[in-house]
Amino acid sequence: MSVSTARLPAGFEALSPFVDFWAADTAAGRADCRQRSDAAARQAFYAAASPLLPAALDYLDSRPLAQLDSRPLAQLDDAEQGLMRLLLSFAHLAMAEELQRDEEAKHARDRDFLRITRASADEAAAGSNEKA
Amino acid sequence: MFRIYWVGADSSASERFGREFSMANLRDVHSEDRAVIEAGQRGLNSGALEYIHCQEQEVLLRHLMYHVNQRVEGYRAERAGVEA
Repeated sequence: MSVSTARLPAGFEALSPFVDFWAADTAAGRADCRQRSDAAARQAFYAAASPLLPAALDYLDSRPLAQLDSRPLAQLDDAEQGLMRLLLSFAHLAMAEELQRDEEAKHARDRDFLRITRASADEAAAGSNEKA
Repeated sequence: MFRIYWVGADSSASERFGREFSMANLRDVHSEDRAVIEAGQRGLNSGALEYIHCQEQEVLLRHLMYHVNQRVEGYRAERAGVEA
C-alpha cells in the first residue's frame, strides 16, 4: 500500500495512508476494496479507523456552531468527502474484521454472486456531480 | 436480486454511514443464505422431501406461496375455460 498525501480534515491525518486504496467513490467500489484487500491491509485500516469512527462521524455531522441539526452533505469539501468515503469503506471492512474473520476468504467467493448496483450514497454523489 | 428501501435521501454523514453499513451487513447475510438456498433446492429436486412445513415465522413466504398458488390456479381455470 502506498503512502498517500491526500488531505483529510485536521485530526484525521492518521487515516491518510489508507485513502489511496480504500476511499472509493461508489458502494460497489468500496465492496471491491474489501474483496481485493489482504488480511494485513484490512487489519491495518480497521485498527487505525475504528477508534476515530465516532469522532469522524461527529465531525462530518456537525455544523460550525455545533447546532443540533446535521450539516448538509452537499457542503462537504474534498477533504471531508475523502473522510466520508473512508468511513463508508470501513462499513464494508467491519464485516470482514468483526464477523467473518478467518472465514473472510471463503466468504468472499459467495459475495461475488451479490453485486452492488446502486446505493443511497451513490445517488447523492451523482447529484453533487451534476451540480458541480 | 435484493432491494433495500430507505425513506428519503441521506440527511447526514451518520445516516449515510448507517445505510452503507446495513447494506454491507445484509449482503454478507444473504451471501450465506444463497449457499443454503441452493442446497435446499438440490434437496427438493431430488424428491426426497415431498412437503415443506412453513412455520409461523415464515409468514412472508406463506403469503407469497398463497398468492402464487392463486395466480396459477386462476390461469389454469382460464385455460380450461378456453379449451372447453
